[in-house]
Amino acid sequence: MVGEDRLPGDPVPEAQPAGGSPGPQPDAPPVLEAVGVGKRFGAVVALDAVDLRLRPGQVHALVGENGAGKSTLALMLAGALRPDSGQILLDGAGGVLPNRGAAIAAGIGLVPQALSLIGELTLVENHLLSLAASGMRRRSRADARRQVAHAAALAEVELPIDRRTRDLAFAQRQLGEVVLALAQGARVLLLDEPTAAAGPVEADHLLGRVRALADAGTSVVLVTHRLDEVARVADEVTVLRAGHRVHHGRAGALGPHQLAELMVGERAADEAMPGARTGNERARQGGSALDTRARAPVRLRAQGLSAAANGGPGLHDVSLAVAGGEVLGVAGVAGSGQRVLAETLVGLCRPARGTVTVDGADVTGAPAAAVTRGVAYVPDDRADGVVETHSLADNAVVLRAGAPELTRAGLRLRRPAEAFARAVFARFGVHPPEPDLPAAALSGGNRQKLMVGRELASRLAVVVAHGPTQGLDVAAAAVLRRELRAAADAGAAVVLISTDLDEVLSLADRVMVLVGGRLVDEVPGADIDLARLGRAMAGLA
Amino acid sequence: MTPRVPRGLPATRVLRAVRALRGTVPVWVVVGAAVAAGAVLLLAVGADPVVGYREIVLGAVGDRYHLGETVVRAVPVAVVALGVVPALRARVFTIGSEGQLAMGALASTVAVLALGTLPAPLLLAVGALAGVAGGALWALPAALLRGYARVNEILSTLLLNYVAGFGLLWLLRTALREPGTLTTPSSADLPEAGRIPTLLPGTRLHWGVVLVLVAAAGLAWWVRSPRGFALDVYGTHPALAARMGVRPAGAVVSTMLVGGAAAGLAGWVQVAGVQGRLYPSVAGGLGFTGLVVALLGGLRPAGVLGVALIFGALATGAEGLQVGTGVPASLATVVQALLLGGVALSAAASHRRLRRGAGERPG
Amino acid sequence: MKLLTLAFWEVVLAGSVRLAVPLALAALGETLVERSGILNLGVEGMMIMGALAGVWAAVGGGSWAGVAAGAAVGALLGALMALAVVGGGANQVVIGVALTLLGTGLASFLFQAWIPSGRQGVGVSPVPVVRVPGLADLPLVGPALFAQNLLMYGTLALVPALAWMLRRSRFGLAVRAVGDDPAAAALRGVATARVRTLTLVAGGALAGVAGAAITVGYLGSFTDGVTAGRGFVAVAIVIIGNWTPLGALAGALLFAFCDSLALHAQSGGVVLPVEAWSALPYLVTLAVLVVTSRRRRAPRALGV
Repeated sequence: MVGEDRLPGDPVPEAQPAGGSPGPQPDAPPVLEAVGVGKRFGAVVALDAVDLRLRPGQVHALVGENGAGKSTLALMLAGALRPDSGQILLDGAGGVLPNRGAAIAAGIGLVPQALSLIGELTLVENHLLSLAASGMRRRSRADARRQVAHAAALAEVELPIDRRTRDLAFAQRQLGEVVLALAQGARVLLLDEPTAAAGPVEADHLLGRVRALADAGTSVVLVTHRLDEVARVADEVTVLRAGHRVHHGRAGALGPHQLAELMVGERAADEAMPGARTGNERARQGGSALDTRARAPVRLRAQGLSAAANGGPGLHDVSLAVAGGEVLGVAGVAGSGQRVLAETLVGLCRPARGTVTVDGADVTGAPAAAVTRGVAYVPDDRADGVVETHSLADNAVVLRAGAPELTRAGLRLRRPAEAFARAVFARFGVHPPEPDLPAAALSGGNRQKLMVGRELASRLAVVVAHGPTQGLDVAAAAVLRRELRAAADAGAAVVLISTDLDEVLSLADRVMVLVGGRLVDEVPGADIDLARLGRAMAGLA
Repeated sequence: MTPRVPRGLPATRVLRAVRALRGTVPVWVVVGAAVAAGAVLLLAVGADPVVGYREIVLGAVGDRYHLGETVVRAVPVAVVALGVVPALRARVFTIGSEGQLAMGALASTVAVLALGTLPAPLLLAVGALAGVAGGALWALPAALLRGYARVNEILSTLLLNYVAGFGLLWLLRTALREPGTLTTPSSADLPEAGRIPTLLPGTRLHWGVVLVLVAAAGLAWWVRSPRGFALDVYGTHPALAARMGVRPAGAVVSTMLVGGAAAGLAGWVQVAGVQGRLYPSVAGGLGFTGLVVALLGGLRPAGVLGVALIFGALATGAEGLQVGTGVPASLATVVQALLLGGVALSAAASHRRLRRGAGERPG
Repeated sequence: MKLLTLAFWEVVLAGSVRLAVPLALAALGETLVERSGILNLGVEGMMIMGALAGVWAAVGGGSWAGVAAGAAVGALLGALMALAVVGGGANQVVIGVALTLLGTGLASFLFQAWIPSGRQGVGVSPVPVVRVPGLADLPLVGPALFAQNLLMYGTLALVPALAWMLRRSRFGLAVRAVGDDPAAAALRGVATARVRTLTLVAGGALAGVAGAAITVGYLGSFTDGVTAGRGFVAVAIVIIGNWTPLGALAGALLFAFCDSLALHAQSGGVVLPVEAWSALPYLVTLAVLVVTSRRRRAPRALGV
């Protein structure tokens, strides 16, 4: 038990590994349990009377689409969020975990989706922080260091634990979070989308570690929207849909397709699995069309781009060419230079060397010129593209505010702007469709739709989309993908940059892999081989 | 690589907080609280609050002269405030109006005294232009530093305020000094032709009021123009604004120059319209007050005008209070501070209400 | 007094150290606050209220009562800011400006009510000076370093203490975490609101003591505007000092040196006019701000 304050590795009276007996025990009493929990945010019901039982030494997968309530449930199990109704039981007892600190002391580790490491501090210092916050007996730095080192050994990972976590690679930070959770003596691990931004190789490695930890006695809740992971690594699975539990059972009982159906209801099960279209299928479908596209004139050309970036690899001699009507997918693990690439392509970043041309015109480092030439940009952080304090109408016309049809005598006109905005709302399903509302009143998903809608509203030459479907539920993501495809079919050159391989594969005619700021490997859509891509993304040729 | 702008930039939040002022019912609660606090202070120094507030009201609008004084007080503050709104909307937090006002006053005094033989309309124009130039030029170093060297403008403009103050003092003590003014050096009186004519006989109210109305109209137009919109966006989303055609250095320099020009113009108004000669105390807190008025006025022309009048009334009223009851006039400053703080709090409350409605949740 | 005599520089250096104390105290407090991710522009208001409170309490209770009063008033104002910004979520810059305005206005108001102009001013005996025997007679640096009041020695001791606290203590770790990434810190179990409230109260207290250090420390009386913008200079010093306690001390010494030089060069009748000397500290601060703008590492949550 964690409360005893012994160092991991100290000799113990009973010969028992930390956290209980190894192997899944289907009949053992649950170690962590949610009973009838409910939660509202404003008018939105996030969870409604949901149950989840985590048994010792098990990996319990929690699946659902974006907005189904998975993260909310995980945060409640971790004590970081209080349920409005229902209870969280620990070892069958006690009502509600008062706060995160108490949960940490009770051995519940959380690896949130947005990593919670403090960049300025080292792994050891992050650990010290959590220890202090959970009110455990004072530990010296040396003790804390030993705990972290031991936990790393337990998880069989090698990490630099005395470097500022800001300076670590993304995969190292992710593993670091898991190690820190273990160092706090966690016997329960709540992992929220741990493989979301990892390539196939890293994901494999991580999931292997998770399985090994479970076999050694740690209980794991694995929140994911990757249905193939369920069968690979989980013992049990719970499916959430719109805040309700729609299924619970053994992991191997249902196949990915059936799980997808449960996740989204019967319609659109196909869209829930965009990556399921194999390379061969794509080739069959788009074979001849591909040839035509390949011969269309190049609309976006980048030559020899090199740029420095603070806190990232930057770009090293990147060149690419995209023809009208073609979708180029750029895959890569997080932190490979995607942001710099996207920003350089649309002119926001001026590279140290190299040029970017659109239809032959140089737009290097000239974002306004790029817009005039018909370049649309969907940034990966929607906060960058939506001005919260301004109205929806303002946000919709932001890139064309000076156009003659929207101004008179140097002043902006209201009515035409509103009309334009309403058209965008209708086409992309932005809700609520009130032009006068401040953008702050929209949910995240609707803001994303607004931003994408505004960018794709007119006839375009180039579209650069960086993670465009993140945070969108399946239906909205499908709409978006259709619109991107439509933009390409209308003649635009589309660049789709994403850490989500499924997203890339769902649309790309051609895939390049970005590793450490360099473009390695280029695979035509017909020959997409996941294994090869995965190796390229991990930097293994 | 565009700088990754953290969402929490201080001036970003100024804009957000101030925007949310629109339609906040609790503002009347804030005003009430400030009035109550003023009453408490009056009691604390042994004065009767009712008598005190009556003196304030009389002092502000009691008769024609005092009403004129209220507006006279409000004019330079309004000019400064209107001028600093574009910069604040672009999250350029310049607080150098104090020094820019002083330099504008200095430049216009020198110009008018030097060209004192010109006829009235010309001399007035000279004074106004010199004021604008003086203020804008004093804003230029800080503007360039912020635009090209990323030096925080809050500190650079602030430090330059003090330098301006000392510079003014030096020149008044030496080159400009009117013989016979030793303890508080001042310049010679401006020639009659260089003084702004009185608007309302029996008061000190001068035609400078027209300037305020013109400036307010100009600001109203600018706020609804595409360029104004773009600079607004620049305040919180520089990358998006770049795609709209805003170049960062240009935005910073132009808005700070406008603020400096306005402050310099207000300096000329102080000398040519109110005091008649240049004193070292010409700025007298007007720069800082202008900033506060701009914030409280919601960064919009109508709001700024309204708040400027209120502050003018408070200041004049408090002077009347001091004359009448001996209670120090700095009561007005305290009330102004409480108003500012209270409004900021109520804006935060309504912003929270707004975000909660949107349902930002983990998903 | 000729410019190049030893006596001249001795006096200037001694004055530098003495004048640096209020600046350093305020800058140390602001360093702590900014490390936790809050920009406190209310330092000027806290300082001047501390200056007034110091004199007022010292009249009846002696100089140390004055220092304590300064600390108390400053802490109160810091708590007020915490309530508004941390508790109420109000904009920190606007509240800081409001607090400065409040402090200056209230100090002026209360002082005039206490001692209406025309009445004879109030004087208090300042904090006692301690001469270290022997060392105080060292040439050039003797009087500067070893014949100062106790506040100066206290400030000097505070610098390494604060540095150690930030680097090695639990609270310092929490402060640095909150200043870097408040959301992640909260997930790690840190009570971010409590940490920021504590730094604001401590920073306010130090600003209050800084104000008292001017009036009760060496001036012996209060006048309107006695702080003359030192609070804002302290904020600049924090930036120049790269958000470290040692940097804050260095910046304070730099400004105070120019200040002291200005004071004594005037009486020496040196070439430049009086006002140029007065402007010198501000100009030098600005110059250093510009020159050091490259290599800065601000706490990320600060957003400057």
